[in-house]
Amino acid sequence: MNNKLKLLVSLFLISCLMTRSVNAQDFTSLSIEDLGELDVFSGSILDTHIHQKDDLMIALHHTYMQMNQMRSGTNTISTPRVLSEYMVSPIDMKMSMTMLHLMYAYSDNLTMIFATHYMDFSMQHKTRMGMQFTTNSKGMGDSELVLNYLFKQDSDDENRWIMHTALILPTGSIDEKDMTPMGHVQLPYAMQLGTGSYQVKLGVDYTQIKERYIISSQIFVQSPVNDNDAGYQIGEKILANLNYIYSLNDQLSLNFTLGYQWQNDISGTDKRLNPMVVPTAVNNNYGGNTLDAEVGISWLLPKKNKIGIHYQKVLWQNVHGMQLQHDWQVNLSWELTL
Amino acid sequence: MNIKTMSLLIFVSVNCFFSASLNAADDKAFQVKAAYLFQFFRYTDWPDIAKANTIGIVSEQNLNAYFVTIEGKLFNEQEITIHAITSMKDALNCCNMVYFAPNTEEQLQQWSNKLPNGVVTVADESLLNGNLSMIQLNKKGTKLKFIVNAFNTKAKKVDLSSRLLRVATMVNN
Repeated sequence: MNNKLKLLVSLFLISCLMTRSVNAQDFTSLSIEDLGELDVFSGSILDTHIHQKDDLMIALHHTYMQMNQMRSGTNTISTPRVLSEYMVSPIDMKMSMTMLHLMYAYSDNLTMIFATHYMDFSMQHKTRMGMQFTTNSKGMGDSELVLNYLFKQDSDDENRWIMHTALILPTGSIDEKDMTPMGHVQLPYAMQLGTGSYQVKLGVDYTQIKERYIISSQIFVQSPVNDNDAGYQIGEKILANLNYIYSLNDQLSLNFTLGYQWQNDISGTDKRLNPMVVPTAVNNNYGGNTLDAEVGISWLLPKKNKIGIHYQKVLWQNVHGMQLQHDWQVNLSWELTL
Repeated sequence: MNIKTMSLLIFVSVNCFFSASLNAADDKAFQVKAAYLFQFFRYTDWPDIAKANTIGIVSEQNLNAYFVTIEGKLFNEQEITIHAITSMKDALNCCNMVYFAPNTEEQLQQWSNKLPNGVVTVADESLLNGNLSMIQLNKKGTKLKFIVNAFNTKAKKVDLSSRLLRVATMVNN
């Protein structure tokens, strides 16, 4: 028998021996409580959407968004059209945001989350004289404290109802300034990093969990509770989402989301802004309705790491006044559960 | 040796290796289930504790290797014995606790109501009709927990200790 064949036969025998032996590990010394804390199953990507007592999760989400056409109501409008009413027109806006989430499951029913983000805005403008300039702002945005409470689930854990309550803290600046042809000026509302107001967000989530897929729907209402130091507050918001996550196998899932948002315009005005100059300085040029769709893929890596990439596209929008329309955004995410 | 034979040997070896990995995962699950059965036995308020010493296993496959860890364990100074149940007649007379392993929905459906009062029934988490049992193992993410179907325990005059009820993820009344 040649050496290669001997090696192969040995490998074959060893692997089959491994198949035949049962490693009889004794867990009977563990308490009934401790048995419930053991990781018994390998876990699938769908399991990462369900948090259990003492789970600690860290997540980083990076979003890149581009807005590149002015719009009024449901119609796009040209730059000359905007310049017929204002001295300056926005041409496009790029936004990059990195969000940090820290989540702790106090119990199987109660999860606490802290989220904050770092934002980087860049808006290009054109003046009536034909000159172009760009304004920038970057820094920490507002932060969020969230409590998610699983208040109802059926006996086989397939249907779950979760209540969301969140307090949004005004940790982002509302005093960002930059150089423009008019000098070093206060930037308009859209270029500010925060809202300056405390906000409350309430919501309900219904999730149905099956072996190969998860369907969930959420509705949220978000509202500021005070005017900020500049004398204005951003508009209330209603958000509704429908999600479908399909597990291709234990490691890979495809995600589909349909989202609707309604937002009121800004109430009050920032006296540091001149509403005659640029539409982004006018409080009524904010808010509206949007319908968007998102597709993505998530991948569960070893050691409970998960990465994902999602692409979101606006399907329909009806904006208040004149504003840059939302177009598309890409989200990259990484999560680690400890 | 020709290429076909070598390919076949390699294919079988790789399959054996990966089967071993999958079996290792099953091993742990059954070993934890065995430990759970022992704890359920400990935390049941048996009407005649002197006669409480047998756990029956209803299973299509031979699971004896996993339950060796609880066979011979002492409960109230008596050794627990494990009994493989192969028929309803067996189930009706043998045991204080009966565990319905994977792929035994039919037996659970047909036998659970017919077992004598005082016999504790435990269903594997994979059984679709596990709610017919008194204690239903329940997969939650990567962990194995359990649900108590209290309406079944009351119907069959079984008393489970408050500690067990506290640890259950759900008690269905």
